[in-house]
Amino acid sequence: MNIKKISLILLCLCPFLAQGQGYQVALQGAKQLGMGHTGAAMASDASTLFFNPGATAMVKGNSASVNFSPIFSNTEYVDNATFSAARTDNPVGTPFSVYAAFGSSDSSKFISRFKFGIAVYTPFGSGVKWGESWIGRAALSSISLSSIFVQPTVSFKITDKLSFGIGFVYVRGSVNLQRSILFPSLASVGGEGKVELDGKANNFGFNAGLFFKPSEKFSIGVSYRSKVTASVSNGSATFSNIPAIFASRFPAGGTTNFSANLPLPAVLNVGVSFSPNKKLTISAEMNHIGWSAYDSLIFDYTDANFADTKSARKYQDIVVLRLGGQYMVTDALAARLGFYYGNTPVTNGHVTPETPDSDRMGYTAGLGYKIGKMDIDFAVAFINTEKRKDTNSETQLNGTFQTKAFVPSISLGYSF
Amino acid sequence: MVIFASAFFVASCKPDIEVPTPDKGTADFTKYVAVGNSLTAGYADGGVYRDAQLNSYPALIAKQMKLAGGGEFIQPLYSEAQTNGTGYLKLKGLSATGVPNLAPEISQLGVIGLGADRRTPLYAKFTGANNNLGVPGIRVADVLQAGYGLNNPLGFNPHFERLLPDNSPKTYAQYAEESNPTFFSCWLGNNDVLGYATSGGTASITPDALFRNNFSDIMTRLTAKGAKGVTAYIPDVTVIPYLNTVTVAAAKLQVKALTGRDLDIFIRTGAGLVRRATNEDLITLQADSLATPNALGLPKGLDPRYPLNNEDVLDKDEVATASAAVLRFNAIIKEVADSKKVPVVDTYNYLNTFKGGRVVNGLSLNTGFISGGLFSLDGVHLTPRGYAMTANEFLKVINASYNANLPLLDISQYAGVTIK
Repeated sequence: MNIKKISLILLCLCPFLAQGQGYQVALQGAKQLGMGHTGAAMASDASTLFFNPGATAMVKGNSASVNFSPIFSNTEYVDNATFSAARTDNPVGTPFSVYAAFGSSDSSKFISRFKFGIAVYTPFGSGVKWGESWIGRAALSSISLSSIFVQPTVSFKITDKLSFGIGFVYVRGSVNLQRSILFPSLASVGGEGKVELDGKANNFGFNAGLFFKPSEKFSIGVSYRSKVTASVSNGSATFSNIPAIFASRFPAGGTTNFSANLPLPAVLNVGVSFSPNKKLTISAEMNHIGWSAYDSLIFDYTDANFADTKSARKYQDIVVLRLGGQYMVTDALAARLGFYYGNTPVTNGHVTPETPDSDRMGYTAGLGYKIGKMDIDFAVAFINTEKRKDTNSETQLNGTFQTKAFVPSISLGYSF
Repeated sequence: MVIFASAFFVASCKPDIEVPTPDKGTADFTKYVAVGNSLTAGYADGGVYRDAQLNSYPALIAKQMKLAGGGEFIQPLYSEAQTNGTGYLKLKGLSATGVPNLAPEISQLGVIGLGADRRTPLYAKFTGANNNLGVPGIRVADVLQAGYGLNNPLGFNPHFERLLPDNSPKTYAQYAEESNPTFFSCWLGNNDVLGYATSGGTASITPDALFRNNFSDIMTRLTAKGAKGVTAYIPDVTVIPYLNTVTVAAAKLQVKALTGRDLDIFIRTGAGLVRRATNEDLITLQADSLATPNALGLPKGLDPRYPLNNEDVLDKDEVATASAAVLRFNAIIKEVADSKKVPVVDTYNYLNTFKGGRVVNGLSLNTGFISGGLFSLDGVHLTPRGYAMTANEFLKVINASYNANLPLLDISQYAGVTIK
């Protein structure tokens, strides 16, 4: 595997919009997405490196796969006070993942109990663009948040029925946030200032899992991916179009550095999979996401004369329930259906235009086809959030948000 | 192909939040009439001019009412040819130290002559149908005064005169009554104490009994035929930039910059006493002659023998007198309004919330001169943004009191002070 080539590809990709709760993106494999994005209890292929590293040891042979899931999303806002409406003009989100898992095929040797793998995936991100004329532009005009997880992994078959895996996770993230600055005076309408916050972050974590398959018909998986704090330490804050009379309220020269921490929360997955016969598989899963780690968003500016900001976020832990089924129409063709429901981590009074989140439902469907050693999988997901009426306790932005999204997904896999 | 298919799906799953429908509730906005003073007329930057009139808070309220069956709202606009009306102040720029460069606009005025008193200008007439009855300068004390708008040698109000046919001795209360509103706003009383405050305590404050009698009279006339409406309190006149920009502390700094010394400011109080100024004394924006020497070489305001004049300063005791009068008048407004079942907009407390600065819709606003965003260049009247916020406070009370659902204004679409 040519890591350099991969990283070049990564650099070219745009950020993407949150398609799970908060700014989580649950789109890491078309096979799983077709089944409601369930995967902790299935030893399908190399994508187990993400869903449950414990299951990787149970995957037969070596395998590699890539997935791409462009997100087409729209958020609408209607202001309760002025009745004005706004709609996002989001860039197409581009979450992707690349997986490879391999091991010794000599089953007589102890080493064959191990599988080694590498996974690259993008489980958190956001790309929301409201523009610079909507009523909430002082809170946000656009945000783009992206993260790439690189996870070398080892998975070990303890017995023929039980396996364990753990991966070390290296995270590289970037954030770009833009807001309009409104001046009380001395600026014509439209002659507004702008602040752009731009930063990069690195950090580490792990992803571990247990997989247990007591019979051919039944399997259980538990996996846990640790919280990673994306710590921006030397971000740049650039203020532009500031009238001279207000210049003293901003950093000298219009620029300063900032630091900020954005938690990428821990995720606990518990899944069961049941195959009553050779053709049918039903999978159910629960994800517990530790969003309460996101208590506040603090921007700590280097310029001592420019006040730091602290915005309450007060997120809560959430649970997402997923259900999916797969039916083998022929030995080569699989048809899949799925559904999921998740409550929102965003508490009342804390809905923001950057994460205009609410309880959501996802409906998914997929097709998979095997051609020799190749797997081609397609899936689509329709995601519908509840309308959410809120008054933000900090910005007083008072209105109703709703997001709908459509995500096609394609995975290509190769087993050898 | 995939992209086209995707685009189709995207189009089919657009969010659809219902936009609220504006509703008049139990009110009838067919004919909205605004009764009031300079604030109602849209007065700004020291004058009445077409652009300011177009942005008067009643015009903004009427615009929202139109969304719920409201009728046309006619204002006594100065014509395009006389667009600068009475003339007003323009901000040409700010010096490096932030001192404003103000220049009067004197072209394209609506002045058509001089009154019979040989001093009051006559303004272009507007005697047709009118919904904005705002008359700059009018006090509650004046509303029953016959001849208040009659061009006569003893003096008159030219803003009322322009609204009346020639030789009409009509009172303002009559004029308001004849407007026959289905819905009214009546915001009066500011000038009954404002004149006292801006004159450093030398002008008179309207007696309570007269205020009560006249306010009750005009409210009775407005509600006589069953019209619904809204009234509002007098804001605290002591918080305006006119009295809070040249603070004693700022004046001392200015003197230090001039003389290099820490000197006290001396004032003559309303009681005739000469004493050192404290931070509780408010110097007016007009008192610009500080430190200018007189014939004897004494610097103005820096020597007890040549203090700031009584009219240049609202001294501590006068501040208390003005504040107390505002509270007494507001109590009368409340009492009369309650008796007529007319709701009151709490403009008094609303303005006070901006004393220390407050963020509204991402805008950091305060009562400061020029940079505060609320007050126009005269330091007394409002900016377009200030008027839009006033309109919103009225709209909130109209919505709450009459079960109406009128949208508020997006205040970021209205300017603060601008350089012209």
